[in-house]
Amino acid sequence: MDLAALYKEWASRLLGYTMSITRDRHLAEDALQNLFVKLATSGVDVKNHAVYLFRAARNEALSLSKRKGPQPLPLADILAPEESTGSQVDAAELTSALDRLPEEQSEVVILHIVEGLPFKEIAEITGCSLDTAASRYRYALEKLKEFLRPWT
Amino acid sequence: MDIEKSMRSLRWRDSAEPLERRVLAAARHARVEQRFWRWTWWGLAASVVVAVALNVSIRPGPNQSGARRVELASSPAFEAPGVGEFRERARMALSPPITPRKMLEVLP
Repeated sequence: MDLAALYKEWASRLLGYTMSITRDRHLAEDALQNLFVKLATSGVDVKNHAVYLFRAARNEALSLSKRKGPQPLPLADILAPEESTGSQVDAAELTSALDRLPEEQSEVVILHIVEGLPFKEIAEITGCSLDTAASRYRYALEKLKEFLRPWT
Repeated sequence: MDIEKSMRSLRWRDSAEPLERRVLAAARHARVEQRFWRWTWWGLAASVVVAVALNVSIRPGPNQSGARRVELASSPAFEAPGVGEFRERARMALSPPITPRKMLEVLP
């Protein structure tokens, strides 16, 4: 397995995802490093990169997030809007609304929308059923609409 | 209001590029360390096997000589000329002397 190529392709996405879980830059970096150390020593043949890597990164982040800092990073510091997208809602309002969602719902929204993963893969990554992943997303969207109503 | 469309504009703020050297170095170091220990354990296991095998083959038999040597020596075909006679004289010399008591025990 070519670690350098794997890193170039996936590391930034995994770092963002682990930051969204740990809400701490240093813990997310540690989680990413642990993940690549395990990839280097385990010798597993990663068939479905996205599911395997996101799931492994999630496990690392969750195990490290037990020592989460006193001031967790807001999603506004982790996610930024792409330039000139002409989005209808202000990015700051959007990220602050995402922050108000329960963790399991915001995780599904991030994986589905930011990472573009289908619900089947999200279910495998988060360890829930396909229906649960889809319903978490639906509930999250309903809540987001409610939170963002004053700005639209 | 299309929230999904708005959210699709969001991207991860930080790049993992500055960490590349550190993370890959840690990963490679871990891999080298793992290989070192793997080969060390295999080497230790192989030396134990060799040591056990050697010990078994050189361990002396009940008459203080290796099993193979006894077998060869017991066959007259492997003996040099004169060795049999020498051995017989040695055996006689080393055997305990015949005492009158022993003679009485042997005699009918």
